[in-house]
Amino acid sequence: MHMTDVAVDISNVTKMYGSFTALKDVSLAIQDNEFFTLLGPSGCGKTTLLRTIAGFEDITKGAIRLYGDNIADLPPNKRPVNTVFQQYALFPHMNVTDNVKFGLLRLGQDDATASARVGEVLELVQLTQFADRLPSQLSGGQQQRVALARALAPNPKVLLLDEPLSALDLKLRQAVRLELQQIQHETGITFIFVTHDQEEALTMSDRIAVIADGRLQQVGSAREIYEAPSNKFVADFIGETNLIDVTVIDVSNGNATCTLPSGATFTCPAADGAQKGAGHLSVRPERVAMTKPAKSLLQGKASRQIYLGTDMHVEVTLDDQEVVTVRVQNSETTHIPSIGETVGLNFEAGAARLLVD
Amino acid sequence: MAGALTTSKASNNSTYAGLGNLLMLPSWLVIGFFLVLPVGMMLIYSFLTKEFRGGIIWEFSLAAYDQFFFDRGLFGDDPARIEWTYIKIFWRSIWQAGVATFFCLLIGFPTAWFIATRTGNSRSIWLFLITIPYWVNLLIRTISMKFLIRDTGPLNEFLISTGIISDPIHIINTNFAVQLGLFYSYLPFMVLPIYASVERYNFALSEAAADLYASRITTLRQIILPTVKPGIIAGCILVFVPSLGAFLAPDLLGGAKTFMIGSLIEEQFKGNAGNWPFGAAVSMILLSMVLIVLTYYARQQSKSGER
Repeated sequence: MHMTDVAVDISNVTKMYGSFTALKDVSLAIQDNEFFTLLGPSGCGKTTLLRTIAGFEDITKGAIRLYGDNIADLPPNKRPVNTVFQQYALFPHMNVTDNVKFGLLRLGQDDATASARVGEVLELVQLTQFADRLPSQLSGGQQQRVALARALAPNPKVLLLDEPLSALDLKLRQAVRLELQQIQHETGITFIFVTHDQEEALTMSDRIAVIADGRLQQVGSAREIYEAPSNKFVADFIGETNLIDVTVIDVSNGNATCTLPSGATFTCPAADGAQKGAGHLSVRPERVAMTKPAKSLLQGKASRQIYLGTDMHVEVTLDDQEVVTVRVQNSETTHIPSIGETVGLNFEAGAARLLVD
Repeated sequence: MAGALTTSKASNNSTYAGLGNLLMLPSWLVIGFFLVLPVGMMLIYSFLTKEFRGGIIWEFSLAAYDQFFFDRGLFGDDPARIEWTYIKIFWRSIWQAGVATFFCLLIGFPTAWFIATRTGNSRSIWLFLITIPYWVNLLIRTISMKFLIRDTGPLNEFLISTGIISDPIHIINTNFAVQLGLFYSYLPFMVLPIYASVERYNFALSEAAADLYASRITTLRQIILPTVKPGIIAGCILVFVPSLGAFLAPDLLGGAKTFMIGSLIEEQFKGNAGNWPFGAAVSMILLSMVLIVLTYYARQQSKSGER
């Protein structure tokens, strides 16, 4: 199959619970062999979207196509997708082998074929020596890998992962991230991964869909979403950013010219739909530089220092009381202004972006 | 983690050091007074000689057990043959209790499932409704059951008035009446333990099974039933064991043809016609049977726990 094939095509999906709208007119095309992440705060509808693909939730309106076939009306056991559940949902009375074999037997495979496949996937997730253990005799990380093996065993066209790392501790989570990515590359299965952890999303995904309030906010690569957020929510949710109040005086060719709080005029790229009038300029803390006040775009007083280990955050309060955070490296050579010191702030046109609300 | 556990255990030990036996005393008193003492008395009585007007003579005898298993003719000097009368009563009791347990399971499981899948408040209301009849004395409930199902009772009159049947269905004084009575008496003992295990059931497991291509019936057989099995077994034991020794339902609803162990034992201690050692012996035989069943299940449980 080619990269251009659409694995899951979600078109105009709406999901209502009574009068509550969980998903509002969501359209998404997830490519074959893609590591695709649904990212959003809790309660945003990302898990609901995943569950509609798995078949655990009916959709109110729209269509879900899997390689061209509409699966929206099929029950979960008729959909060729498998799920890794958030709390793993391993069958407690079955050992690892039987858990992994369960789906294969339901597909009508004979015991020998199924057993051979179980051996393969257990090797893939490095659990061969735990084949006879019950889930309760495994650590959290091992249980997570059994859940992964069980979902991979039937060789699904699409693998759905519902926050599978959220129950693991930090170190383990970081290791499993790499492992998951590697398994996705090795198997070539399309992964749809749900998370609320933006770092997880940024490091693992080919593409990310940011969801909030049941609506799709932006779809793009990690770099696109981080560097060119389409709206204020995305900029604020992914990483940290400064949102500076500005007045837009002109918008042309995707660029906006605006007046900064200091009175300086500044031109930078603008998100689609930017208009004249009040607006927000998004600048990441690490893209702001501190200089002498005379040659700067903005001026203010250093009001707080936050120690972060490798880095430091310096909060600078502007004359109009807005606070801009600057991230500087924590080293001997960096000048870190003391509290109350007057500093100037500068940033490149490419580092800033005018956002719509 | 393990280290932390050990330390807390150690500190517990030092706090209550030496008090262990003293703290166990109330439990031992209760068990001793209400369990060991009466059962021990029964055990001793079963090996004593009967006094003809009820009561016992302190003289060792195996007559009670002999009477249960062997028929030595009217004067006791014929060659011993196996006595089938009491074995038949035992067999009938097991059958009746088994059928009652089966019906309790058949109705109790869906009921428990239904209640456990309700949301908070309506769940408590359903549980409350299930227990309401049990605020009334068992004797009164059994008598009202007798009234309900007799030939001219409300059940038959209703069925005749709606034209479903033309002659009353004869239920009273049949095996079925006894099974119905036992079923009615012990249904909550089936519902409550199953409810408790279904309530703990993680419904994500059903979703996982469906996700792995299992039909609903396969999910029920291979995932749900094995997971809630402890509740089902507990429910079955709680219904089967008291049903086996029940005497109110067979007495009031069954009549002479449906005589069960409970009634047999009851008769031995009633009035002047009784035979205390024989009653005690029958009780001991019943107790050993129940213990064998319970031990078997306990073994199974601990085996599946170790696995």
